[in-house]
Amino acid sequence: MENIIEIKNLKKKYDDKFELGKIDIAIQKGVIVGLIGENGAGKTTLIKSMLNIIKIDSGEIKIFGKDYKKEEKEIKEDIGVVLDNMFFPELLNAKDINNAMKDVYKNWDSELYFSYLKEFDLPDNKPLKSMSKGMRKKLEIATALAHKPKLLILDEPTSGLDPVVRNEVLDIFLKFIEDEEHSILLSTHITSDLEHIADEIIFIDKGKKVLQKSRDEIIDNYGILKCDIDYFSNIDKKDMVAYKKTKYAYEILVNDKEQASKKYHNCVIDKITLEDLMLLVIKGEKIC
Amino acid sequence: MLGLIKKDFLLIKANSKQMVIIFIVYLMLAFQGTFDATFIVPLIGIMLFISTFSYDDFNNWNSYAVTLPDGRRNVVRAKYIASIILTVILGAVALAISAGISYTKTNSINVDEIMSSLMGTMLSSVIIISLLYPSVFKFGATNGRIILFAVVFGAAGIGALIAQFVDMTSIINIINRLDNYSLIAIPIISVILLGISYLISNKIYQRKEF
Repeated sequence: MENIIEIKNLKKKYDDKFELGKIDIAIQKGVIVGLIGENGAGKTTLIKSMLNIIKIDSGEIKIFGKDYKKEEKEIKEDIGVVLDNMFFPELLNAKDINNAMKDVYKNWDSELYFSYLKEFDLPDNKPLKSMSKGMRKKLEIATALAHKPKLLILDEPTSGLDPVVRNEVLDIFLKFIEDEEHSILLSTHITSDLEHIADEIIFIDKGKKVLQKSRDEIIDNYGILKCDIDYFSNIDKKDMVAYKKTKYAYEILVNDKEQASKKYHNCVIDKITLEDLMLLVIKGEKIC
Repeated sequence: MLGLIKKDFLLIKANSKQMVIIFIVYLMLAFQGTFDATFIVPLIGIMLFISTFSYDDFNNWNSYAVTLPDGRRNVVRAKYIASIILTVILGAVALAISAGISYTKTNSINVDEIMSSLMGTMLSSVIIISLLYPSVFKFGATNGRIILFAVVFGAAGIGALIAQFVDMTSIINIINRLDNYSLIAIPIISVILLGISYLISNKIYQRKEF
C-alpha cells in the first residue's frame, strides 16, 4: 500500500538538552496512527518538523510522496492540523474563522464547517475567549476537517475534552478514514483512546523511536509477565523487552506472551494496555 | 493570502470597540486644535495594527499560520499589505476629517496644508512600520517594540552627539528641499523603505521556529 508519510533519518537537536535522533517512519494510507510517549519525548517536535513549524537538522520528509518543503503549498492544502496549544486569536468567533479560512483553503466548505459546529454544539458568534478549553479544541477540530483534507495531523486533539465529547470526536475520526483514502496521525496522552481507534502505534522515548507496530500486534502479542524476585534469574533475557522491579516481584514486558506462557508456566502473564507498555519501557530497564 | 489579511482586519474589528472611545477623544481634541487629525488618525491605525502582532504571539497563531497553504512568505506579506491598506484608509478618513474641520472653522479648505501634514504622517507611519515589523518578527510583539525603542533612542542620542561636532545644515537643507517634492518623494521613499523592511522581515520569518 502507498505510504502517505515517509520520514527518513530525521534529526533535530535543541541545545544540548534534547535531540530527536535518526527517526525513520513510514505511514500507510487509510490508517490511524497513534503517537505515544511521555512529555518531552519528542512527539510535538516530530509533528512540528513534519509541518515545517521547526527546521530539522537533517533527514528527509515526504508527505503524499512529495517533498515537504519543495511542494509545501500543495501538501498543506490536503492536511488538517490541530496543534497542542490553542492557536486561534481569542477575540475572533467561529464565524470570523470561517470568513478568513474560506480564503485560505481552496477546498474550504463553509456548509461542512457549520455542520460540524452544530454537531459539536458550538456557538458561532461568541468570541473564543469566552469558550471553554474543550469548546476551543472542538472548534480547532472542526476547522481541521472543513477543507476536506486527506491527512489529519493532530497533536493532543482530545486533551481537555470530557469523555462524551471525546467519544464523539473519536467517532468522527473513524468516519474520516472509512473510505481508506484518508489517514490520521495523532499524538495523545490518553492511550485508551488509541486502543479504540488506532491501527498502528508509534512509541517515542527520549527522542528515539522505540516501537512501531500495529495495535492488534501489541495487544495480542505483548504481555506483562509477573514473577517473584527469586524466579527472575530463570527468565531468559531474549524473552524480555523491559522489566521493572516492584517491592515483592518483577514485572517483565514480553513481546510473545503465548511463547512466554508455555516457557514460564509458573508465572502469571497479564494482558497489556498501551499505558502499561509505556510505563514499563519508560520507567523500567530496557533490554532491547 | 487574502484569508490572512481578513483575519487581521477581523481582529482589528473585534478590538475596535475600545479604540472608538480613544478615537472620539482625539477627534474632539483635533476639532479644538490640540491635535491635527491628519497626524493622529493614521497613528491610531498603526497602534491598532500592532496589537494584531500581540494577539498573534499571545495565542500562538504563528505556529498555526505556517501550517497553512499560504506559507511563511505570505504570512509576512499579508501583515505588510494589511497595514498599508489600513494606513491608506485611515489617511483618507483623516483627510476628510481635516477638510471638515477646516471648512467648519474657516469656511474654506486649505488643501495644501492638509496634504502636506498628511504626507508627513504617512511617511511617519511607513517609517514606524518599516522599522518595527522586522524587530517584531524577530523578537515578538513585546520585546520587538522595546528593542526598537532602545535602538531608536540610542541612534537619536548618537545623532545628537554627532550633531555637536559636525555641521548638519547641509543634511537639513536636503530634507527641506525634499519637502517641496513631498507628493512624489514620499511615495517613492515609502515604497523603498517598505520593500527593504519586507525583505528583512521575510528573511527573519523564513528561519523562525515556533
